[in-house]
Amino acid sequence: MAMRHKCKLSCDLIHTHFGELVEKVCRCLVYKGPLVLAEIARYTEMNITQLRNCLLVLVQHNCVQGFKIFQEAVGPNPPKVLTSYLGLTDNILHRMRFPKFLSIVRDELGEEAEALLEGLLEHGRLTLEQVVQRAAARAGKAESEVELPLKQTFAALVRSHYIERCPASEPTVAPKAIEPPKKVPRGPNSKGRAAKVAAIKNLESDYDRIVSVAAALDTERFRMPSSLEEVGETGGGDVSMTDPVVPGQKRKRDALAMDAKTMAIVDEKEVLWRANYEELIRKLRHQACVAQVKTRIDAAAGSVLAAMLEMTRSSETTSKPQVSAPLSMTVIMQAVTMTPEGRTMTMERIRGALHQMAQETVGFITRTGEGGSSYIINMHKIIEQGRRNEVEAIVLQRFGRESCRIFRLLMMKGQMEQKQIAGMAMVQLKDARELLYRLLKEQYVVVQEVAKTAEHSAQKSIYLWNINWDVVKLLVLDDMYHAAGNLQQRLSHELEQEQEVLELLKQIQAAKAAGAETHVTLTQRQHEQVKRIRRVASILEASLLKLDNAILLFYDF
Amino acid sequence: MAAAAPSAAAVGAAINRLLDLCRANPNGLQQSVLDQQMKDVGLEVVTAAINALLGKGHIQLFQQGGSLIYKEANKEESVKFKGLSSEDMLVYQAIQQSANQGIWTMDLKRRTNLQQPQVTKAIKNLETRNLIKAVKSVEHKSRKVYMLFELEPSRDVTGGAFYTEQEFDVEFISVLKHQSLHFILKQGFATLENVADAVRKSGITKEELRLQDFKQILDMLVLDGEIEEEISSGVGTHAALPPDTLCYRGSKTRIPDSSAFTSIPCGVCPVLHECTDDGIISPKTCVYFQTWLTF
Repeated sequence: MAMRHKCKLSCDLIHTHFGELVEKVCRCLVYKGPLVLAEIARYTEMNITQLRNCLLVLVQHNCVQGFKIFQEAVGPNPPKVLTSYLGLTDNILHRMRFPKFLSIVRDELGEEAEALLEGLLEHGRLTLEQVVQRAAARAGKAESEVELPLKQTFAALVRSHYIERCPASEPTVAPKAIEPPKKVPRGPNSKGRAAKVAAIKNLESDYDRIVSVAAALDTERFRMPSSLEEVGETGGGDVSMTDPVVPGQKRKRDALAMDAKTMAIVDEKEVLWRANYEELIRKLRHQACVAQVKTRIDAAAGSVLAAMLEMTRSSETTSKPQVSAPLSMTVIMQAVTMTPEGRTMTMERIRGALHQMAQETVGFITRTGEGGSSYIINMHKIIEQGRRNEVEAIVLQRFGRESCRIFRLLMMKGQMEQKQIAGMAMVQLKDARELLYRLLKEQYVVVQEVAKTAEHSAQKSIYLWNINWDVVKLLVLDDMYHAAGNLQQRLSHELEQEQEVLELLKQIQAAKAAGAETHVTLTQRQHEQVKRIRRVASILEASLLKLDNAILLFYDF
Repeated sequence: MAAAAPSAAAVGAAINRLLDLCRANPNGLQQSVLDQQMKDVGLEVVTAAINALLGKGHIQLFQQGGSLIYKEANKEESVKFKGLSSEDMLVYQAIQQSANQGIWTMDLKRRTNLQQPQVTKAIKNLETRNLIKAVKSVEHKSRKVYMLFELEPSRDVTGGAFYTEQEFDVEFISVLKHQSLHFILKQGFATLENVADAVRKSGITKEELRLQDFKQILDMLVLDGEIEEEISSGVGTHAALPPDTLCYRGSKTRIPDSSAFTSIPCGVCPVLHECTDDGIISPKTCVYFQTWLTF
């Protein structure tokens, strides 16, 4: 079953981050779909207090979303409202990416912003007050000392949409969306690729629906806390500008009930904030686009594209749009000259870079508008090209140069016969056959029989080879999840093996930190062990981060 | 056979008329036309005349669609075929039909409905007269195919320039590939003709290579991601070329030699799909991991 390894990987992550009990609850939700509390209790056989605590941990860390469904009256039973919980696998997987998120924010908004975001990532969700408290405790200063600069950083993060207000905790979802848990064909019951793809689509649409119901409107999500509104306004953010006009009906009612002062207190003490993964991923997506253009054209084109993406970022309405909003030449010029790399670029140079990007066979950007006066960025095409490169590299490594040649040939031409393939790829017919069947075994290619006789006699049939790109992408992605899961498993296994010596090391360090003399020292052998486990862990962790880039490319972008 | 043998004079007259008719229809005399023209002569007489002519090799018999066609054999050919039995002729015609693709003895046997020894004998006869020749096929290495002596075997049979002695010449191709790539990278960009000229001049091969053969080599390089096709703009770097000609340049993005996925053991693992956490194959006990982590 496709995406089985995704579920497994998310459970593994929860296990390493939160331990066994929480993982048990998470496993149940991830594999079985949305469940109500009683059902979870039945499946996990945990006592209700423990279970409740585990769920709270998961909700706190944005790994589970609760929602209400209205159940109609059946027979003598009165209608009731049930609260179900949905495991958010995407969010769980984002836990692997925390280092990436932090480095984005550090590069863009500086180290204070990074520290603030780190707090939010560490604790899942926090109120503004708690954020201030945490920062004060860390710096060892009074809250009033750190408050002002911190609030400014906070405002900057909100303005850049890197943090957001938490979504509604238990929104009501129309009943239709929740039916599938039983209906969704899973595992060995579903046969064939189409069924798999359909099942995944189905699951995803449910998932998306619940998440989108929970999510607030953009204006609400990024509304500054009222104590920060002045800070926001001095920063000239568009969020605070639109703010006074928009509050919806419901908020108006709330607002009437409270005066501004209590509002401010509520905003500070009760409204929870969390990192906005969507925006952070968007930034990573943009970076991937720029990197792609940089390698295919040059650094200059890369920086022009980066400036363009930055300009259109605020107008992106979905998480992964196909194309950007159109940009006119003058806007592009302005945007480029504002960036540090672009300051020295002449107009000719920028024009040249745009021309190159539009000319490139991939079609990075396209001219639109009257007389081709503006440009749009084909983000989807750029990402798709990145995916193709990745798959080609994988085929090259796994199956060799000839197979890669055949794969590329089929990608370009589609539907071909063995003999044609052998001719065009310049491989001997019998070798071509072997290579094709190896690719077929791993499902990178598909073969279709075109029978000329009613008896489907093999000698008289034509066999056409082809590539089903969507399926290949899905397979590669699942293999990657599998590999990432393996890395994670191996890492925790290695650490477990060396637990004793690591424990010892920790004691020594703690003693040293406390300034006490310690009579415990490591033997030669133990020193070796520590050295080994450190190296092994760093290899595994680095590989996991790199592999995650590929997973992002295939799933999140 | 008719009870009374037709008179020699009648047959002689019929022969002359038949030959005239054949000459009047150089593209072949249809059976239906013949029947109409020779209505006045008895069927036995016509049959006898045709048999006599066929026996002497003056006319040839073909089957086209459902009907029979008669053609006069030219003098030269009639000499060539003199003394050949009708079986020999049948075999000859089957071989002729196969044109430059050639035909295998088994197929010949099936096509002519003759016994194996008869076919072998006919082939031997025809070969000694230099009417047909045997060619080795690349597709089926153990088979010999026969075709008319004067024909050049088709590329399907010989395999084209890239086959030497019925073997796909991998060495030769890789030499050609490197030479072409080297030339393109040195020049920056080049057209098909440029590459062909350069390789021919370099004298690495005595083989007569056609432009199509070079095209095939370049197409392969494109598929390998080593070079890219480009349409010349006729200005700037392309000033030497007329606009809108297809040329090739070194690829900017070669297929990466490694990826994040394949640089870990799982990426190239042959048994990844049998790998589970607590199975016989598991990441905890994996030997590939073991060697990877201890270097």
